[in-house]
Amino acid sequence: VQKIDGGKLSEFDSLVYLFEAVGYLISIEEIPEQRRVELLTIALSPSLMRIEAIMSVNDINAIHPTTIGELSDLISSIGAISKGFPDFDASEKGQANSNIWSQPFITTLKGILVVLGRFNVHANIREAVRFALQRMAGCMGPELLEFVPSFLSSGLLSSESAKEIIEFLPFINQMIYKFQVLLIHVALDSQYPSHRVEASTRKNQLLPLSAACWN
Amino acid sequence: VSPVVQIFSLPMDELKTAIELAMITVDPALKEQAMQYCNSIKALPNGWEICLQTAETNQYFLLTSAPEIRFFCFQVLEETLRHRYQSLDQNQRLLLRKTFWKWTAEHLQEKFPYFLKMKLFVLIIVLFKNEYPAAWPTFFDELYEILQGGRTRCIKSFLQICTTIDEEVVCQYIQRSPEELAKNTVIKDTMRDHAIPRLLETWHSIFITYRSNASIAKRCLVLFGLYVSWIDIGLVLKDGFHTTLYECFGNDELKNAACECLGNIVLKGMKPSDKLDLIHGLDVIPFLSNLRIVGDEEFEEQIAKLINNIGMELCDSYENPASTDEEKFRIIAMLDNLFPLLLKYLANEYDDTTSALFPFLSGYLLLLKRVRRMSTQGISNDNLRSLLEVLAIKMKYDEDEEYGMGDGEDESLFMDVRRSLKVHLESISTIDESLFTNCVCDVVCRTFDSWKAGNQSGLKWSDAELAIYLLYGFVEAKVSHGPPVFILENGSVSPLGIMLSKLMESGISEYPHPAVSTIYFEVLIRYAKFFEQRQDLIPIALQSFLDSRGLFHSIKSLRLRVNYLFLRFVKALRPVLARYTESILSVIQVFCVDVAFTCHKA
Repeated sequence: VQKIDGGKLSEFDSLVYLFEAVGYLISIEEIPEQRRVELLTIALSPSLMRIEAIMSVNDINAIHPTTIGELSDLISSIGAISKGFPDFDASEKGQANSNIWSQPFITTLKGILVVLGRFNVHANIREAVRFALQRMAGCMGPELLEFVPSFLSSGLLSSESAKEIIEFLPFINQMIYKFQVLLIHVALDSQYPSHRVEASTRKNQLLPLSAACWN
Repeated sequence: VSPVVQIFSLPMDELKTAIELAMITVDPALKEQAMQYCNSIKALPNGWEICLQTAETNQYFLLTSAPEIRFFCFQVLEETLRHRYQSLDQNQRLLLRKTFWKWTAEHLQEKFPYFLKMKLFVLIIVLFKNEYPAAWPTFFDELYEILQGGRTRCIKSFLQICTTIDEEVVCQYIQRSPEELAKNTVIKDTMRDHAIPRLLETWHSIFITYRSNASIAKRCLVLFGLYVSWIDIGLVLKDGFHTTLYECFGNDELKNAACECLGNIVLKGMKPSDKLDLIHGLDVIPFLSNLRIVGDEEFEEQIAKLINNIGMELCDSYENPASTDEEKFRIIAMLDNLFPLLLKYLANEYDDTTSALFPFLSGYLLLLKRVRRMSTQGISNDNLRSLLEVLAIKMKYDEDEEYGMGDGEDESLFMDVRRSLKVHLESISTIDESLFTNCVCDVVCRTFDSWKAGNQSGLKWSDAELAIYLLYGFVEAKVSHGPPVFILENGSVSPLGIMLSKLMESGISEYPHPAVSTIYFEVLIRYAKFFEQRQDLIPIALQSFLDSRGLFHSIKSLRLRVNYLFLRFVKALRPVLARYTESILSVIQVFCVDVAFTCHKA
């Protein structure tokens, strides 16, 4: 009967399902648009407020490892909520719909970015951020790309562990597949800011990869 | 020759010392050297001779290590006989034969330890396999000499050697090469013509004489059961032997062996007509029907195995292309007589007894399916209905066992049996789907109605759990294998829809037992689409998720499982949940707020 055995899950692993359910419920189209945004804000705010409270501690080095674990779970819970949202729709109508969520999620991304910048030495934080980004990419669409360079420069891939890079590849893959964006710009932006091109001009364009860029 | 061997001048003495050292020394280097020496002896072409002499020459029984020394020597001898027999010349083979009989005679005088005795008998029979019949036609004459000692030990040894013949030559559980099988066939053919009649006569005579000595009588019963598969059954069943067997059913020490022996007799391969005559001639079904057993778990399991054998043989005979219509008619009649026994032992309290009947039950249901397909007559619905009821009762948890407690082994065994029972239940559905539907619907609705009527103290948790479990498995038993149907084509509510409505309206989800809650939520997920058609019941379902029955249950494992099930429920019914969203969020926001508290401080 039990394909997922509750007895073998951790409390948080199981709560992730509940957060995902929250995402599904908030994004029901029959709910008025404005109310959906409010509900999303309400759902995200406890996690954001808690993150803010932790980050406001003066001596960041004094933060207990348990608190790092807590931060990691808070970020993952945000990712789980966003997983419940419908996938980004590239059609015009779809883009308009997806934009509904932009603001609360962008605020959230900024909060996560701060945590990553401070605690990127912790593998569980990096893992939680990867988890959240992958989930959020589904509903946010190309808008998330704006943030990828910042996440990279904030140490998302600061580990030399092949495992972490391999775990990140599906995200890159997802971006290329879903949004048909040549991600090389993201990489270039993070390493060569002078190549920066506005995201809006990149969409659906496959810019030629210049060998000179790498020299 | 190994250098290790060369340093010893007297191999026999040194072998003895090396075996003792290998057994007792705690010095790993010395132990290694001793074992190396033993192995080098084993590998020598004449190693068997050293072992034969080592086992033979010393008065080892005065030493505590003597049996082990002999055992090692016996192992080397066995290996030689099995794998290097061709390297032995005629004189050496003769020497081995004489020595083995000599040791047997020693054992009859002074009892060997069990493991040594068994190994010695294996040696004799491996040699027998190599020599009989051509080079050792007098084997059985020599074997009978053992009996001349007259003591019970002599008789037991004689019977044990006969058992070893079965193990080495006949037993089908041992994998054998085609050459060995061919050799064994020659041995069996020769034995049938020259040895079996006298052997059977001897066993019968021993059995009759030593009925009061359970140890000997049991060995005889085992032998009859082992040999009956390949010898003339008339030699076993002569002089009304089956009546003697039935008498043993009244003897506590012999009844299990007698039952097993009878089971093997029933299994003997033969034409369908002969099989029917055999079962009829044994009068076994009436005998078992009149048998009264009180509180003997092991014996009941043996009886169940016997019934299984009889039933399987009848079903196989029915399927046999050689069966005539008349014989098939007889088989159906015999199965009808056997059916009450099937039912009785399936319903046995112990799952091992129930499980022993599963092969017969499968065969029986398959046969019913065929019979039904050919004609609507012949099989009564009452049989199927009784079977359904018994299977359903057996699917119930044991009320006395504490649910979810202990190491889970008992529960896991129960779940295995339950799965098998469910498969059989589903087979009944393929025979008569409407009967199955009515029976299940009846049990399920009766339980829910009972709860709703306020009989809350009278309803056991195992009954409540069973009703919901039957509802859970209901769709799997449907012949159509399509998605669950809640509303029939004529617009009326389907039996499944009725059961689900009653599940929700009865409030049985409030039964205060985790087993009930667990299966209840699984049902909600499996039949989530039902709520699209009965949207008025959604609040009841949501309420159960959102209170102490579900997300706030006191049992952690259950609570965590419900988190996942709730997600699936929401995903399945998302389009119709809009109006409940805010109420749901207001209840579960506590998890969003307390994620840190729940996971890091609890």
